[in-house]
Amino acid sequence: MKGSFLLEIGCEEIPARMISGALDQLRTGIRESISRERLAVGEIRTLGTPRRLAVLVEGLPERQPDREIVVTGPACRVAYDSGGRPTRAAIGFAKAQGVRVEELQRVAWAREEHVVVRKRVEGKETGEILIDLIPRVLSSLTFPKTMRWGEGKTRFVRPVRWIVALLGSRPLNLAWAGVNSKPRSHGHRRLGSPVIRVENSKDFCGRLRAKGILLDPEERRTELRRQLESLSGSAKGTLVEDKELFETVIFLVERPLVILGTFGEEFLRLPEEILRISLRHHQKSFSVRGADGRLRNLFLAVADADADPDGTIRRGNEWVLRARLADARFFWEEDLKSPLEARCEGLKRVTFHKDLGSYHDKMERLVVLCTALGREHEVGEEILRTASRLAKCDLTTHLVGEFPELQGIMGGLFARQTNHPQAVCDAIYDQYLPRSFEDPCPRSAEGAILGIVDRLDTLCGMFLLGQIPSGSRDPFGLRRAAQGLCKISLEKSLGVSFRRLVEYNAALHRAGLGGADREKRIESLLHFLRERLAFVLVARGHAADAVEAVLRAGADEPVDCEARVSALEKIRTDPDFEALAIGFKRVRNILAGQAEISWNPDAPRAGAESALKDKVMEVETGMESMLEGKDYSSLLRLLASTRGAIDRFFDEVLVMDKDESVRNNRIGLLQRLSGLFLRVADLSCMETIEIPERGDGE
Amino acid sequence: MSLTFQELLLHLQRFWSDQGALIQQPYDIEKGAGTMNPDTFFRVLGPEPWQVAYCEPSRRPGDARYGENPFRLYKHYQFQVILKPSPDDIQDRFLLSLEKLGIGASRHDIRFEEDNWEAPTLAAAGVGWQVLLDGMEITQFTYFQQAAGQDLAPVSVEITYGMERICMILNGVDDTFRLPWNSSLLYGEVRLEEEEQFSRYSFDAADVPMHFRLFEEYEKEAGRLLQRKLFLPAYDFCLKCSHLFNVLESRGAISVTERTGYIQRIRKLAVSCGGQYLERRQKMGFPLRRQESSREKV
Repeated sequence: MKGSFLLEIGCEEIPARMISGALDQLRTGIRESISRERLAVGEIRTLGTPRRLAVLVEGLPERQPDREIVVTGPACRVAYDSGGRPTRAAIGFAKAQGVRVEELQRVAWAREEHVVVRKRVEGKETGEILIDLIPRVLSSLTFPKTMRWGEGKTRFVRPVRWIVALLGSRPLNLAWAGVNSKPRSHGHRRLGSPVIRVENSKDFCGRLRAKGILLDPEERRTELRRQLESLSGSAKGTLVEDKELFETVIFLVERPLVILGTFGEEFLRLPEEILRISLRHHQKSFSVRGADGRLRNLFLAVADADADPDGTIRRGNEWVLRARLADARFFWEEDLKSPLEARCEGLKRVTFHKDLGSYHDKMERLVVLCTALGREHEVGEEILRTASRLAKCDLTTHLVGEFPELQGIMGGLFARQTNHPQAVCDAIYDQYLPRSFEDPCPRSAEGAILGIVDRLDTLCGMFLLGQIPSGSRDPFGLRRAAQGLCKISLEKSLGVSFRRLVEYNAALHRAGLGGADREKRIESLLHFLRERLAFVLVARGHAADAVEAVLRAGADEPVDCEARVSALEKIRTDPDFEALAIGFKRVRNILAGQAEISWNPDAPRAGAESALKDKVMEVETGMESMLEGKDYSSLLRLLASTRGAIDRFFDEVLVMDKDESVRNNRIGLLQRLSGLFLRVADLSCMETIEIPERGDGE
Repeated sequence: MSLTFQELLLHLQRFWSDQGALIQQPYDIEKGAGTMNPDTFFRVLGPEPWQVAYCEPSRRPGDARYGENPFRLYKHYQFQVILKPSPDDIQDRFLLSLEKLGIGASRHDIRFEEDNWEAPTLAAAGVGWQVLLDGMEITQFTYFQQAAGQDLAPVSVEITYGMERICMILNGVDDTFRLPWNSSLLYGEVRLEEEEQFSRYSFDAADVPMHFRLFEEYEKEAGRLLQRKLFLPAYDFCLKCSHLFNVLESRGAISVTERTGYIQRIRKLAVSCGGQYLERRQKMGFPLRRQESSREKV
């Protein structure tokens, strides 16, 4: 008979951000340790709320399968005398193992025969195994932050207050974190956490549901969405989506109750960004938009309750929000008293990094680089000069102090208030986009340039300091910064050269920064950017091998790289491509380890060698205009036209001729040919069928 | 239930007294938080059990608003409870204390949201929550993990009730200064003048060079006293340094780079005081530990 197992760990409130991670670890940990115990296992589900982590395992057998073990005893030459009679050694061993001496068997082991006993070991009972295994799995869970409580002997994310463990209807007595399991769970805080008896492992979710707790996060998601939509609908508005807030709230409550509240219309005069952040930041409330697209003076708060019949919870939330909005309005009005320009000086007192100076220093670097790039790309140079000068000024405002996630956005709004051109405001407003990988990029080219330069300046400064991310250690978010930079460049088609940017920016940092390692650190930054670019290109849907082929042929300009990747992907489906790639691999194989040989086009050649030379010259002449116009598709097609000549060359010519000058001429020709391909991509890392093993020139 | 400010205080004292806690009075030196009271700072160290409750006026020069902001104050009152070791049913006891004030869980939305606490000047840190009542933060609830640079075991739980906040909710008043202090006087009538004057002092009037000078003097005195193993008076001077630092900061006299340096100096004193306290208690054989068996368990 298959059995089911229920485990519930009752805790004081676990931080919302840590619950799903804990549930994932719990599921993996239990699956692995159960199968290590040779127990077949059916479905394992982990469910939870802030106050409980639960595991439901289905399809457990009653016990482990029996197994045979072999106990090795003394060597046969010791176990039996010359007459083949068992010695004291054999008799003693048999006795110790609880078998008759006649039952001993002989097995070759470690180069000679030994006596052995084969024993059948009865599989352990599943409950026994679980009692032993569950505490170990629980102790292996990791959290971003753990704590001790009471006598301070155990560590967990929050104090553990009860444990329920049932195999079918049988309570298992397990102990962990100073708590002994009992078949008693606890209900909702709102009802005083009453004891809930758990008779068996079946339908635990249903049992808790009847007591007002939605154990399954998915049920809470459905319920929260339903209520949010129905309440915003009933107010003739639409919910302002906020995925991150939604997921947080799911793990803040055991059952969601959405409360629709209002705030004073006078606050609608505040910028929408400030309203929304005031609702979301402390109050974890959603905003509602009206039919005209503007925010309404409504909010949707999420309580951990089943009902709010007399409006107590609503009034409380309205009251707090009013205070918050009054605070925000106070900050906004205070902040407006000194315009952004007047705040530049104040940036001298805001440290960017103790070894990289203040934000004023950073701002000065941004201005130089942004205007230079603006000039180069023929976008508003003056707009960029102003935007980069004012970009960081909002750091000294009250509002950004209160809501750091408004950085940039506030700068844009303040710039608007002092009548800067819209393009300046937008560039400042968008400078931190994309905040996450799914986020959009800055709207304008100026915003894109500011965003690229700001990230580059941080990357460059940190690398010069030797603050290079490794493994999971990336305290300054440099990976995200580099990915953002690549993404902006690609999406906005802004052709920039990593090397030029990095060297230009490095020169603007404090002289001597990086010391003796300066050059090395610049190179590791370029390598880092190449890796992040590869990541972004693959994330944008390109094939990993095509990306690698292209980046090996040059990874300095993201836009150019993507153009080459796209061209390569287009041509790789051509029927001849495979053969071309194979031909190129052979060229690279022969050239591996060869020193560069200066090529003499006029050296005497004949037959296939002469034909390949003509082809190389033809391609060389033809490709210049294509390179100029970055027409990589035509260029690849032109390169592909060499295939016949390459194949014939390999069929008819022996590269490694005994005569050195003949040999060098041939190597030089292949190097020249290879160089043409490497203007676009290193086809030798494209995934193709294996190269047939053939001797050179057969 | 509407409750005056002083009744609220009396209620909480009564409740925690009934729970077996020692009722203390505030410590007579300026400080930013109830945690800095020696009855918390020292007593959470070491193995001896300790249960205490007191109301601590807390001064935060940076939060001063000339009495013009209904929520932010130069000085506010914290009701502080320390229980060591933390009892298993501490959350229920806390909820019961709210219920006795008329804040029942069945009508309200009471939530514990992650909020960890750190006091760099005391080399102290804890893990816990802010308690939200219908969206309003009313209490800090913290399991102390470290104090004076020492890992703590047994662990103390600290409950810090925001007196003004709770009183506002109980009375449905959204301006601190309009809270009834007792049946005849309002909070503002008792304290507004004080808020105005101390705001001016914090932002405009405090003599910066003198405060810097005093910081040096007090730090020196604390060090001298520590050399003579007088860690209690030394801690007084450490507290004075902390308050001077807060005033200097609100006067804008300490730059970001200097800030860390001053925090380190105060922290060094606090760590030494804590270390000497532990040494001393150990020499005394941790006298409160022996009461554990004879005293009725809290």
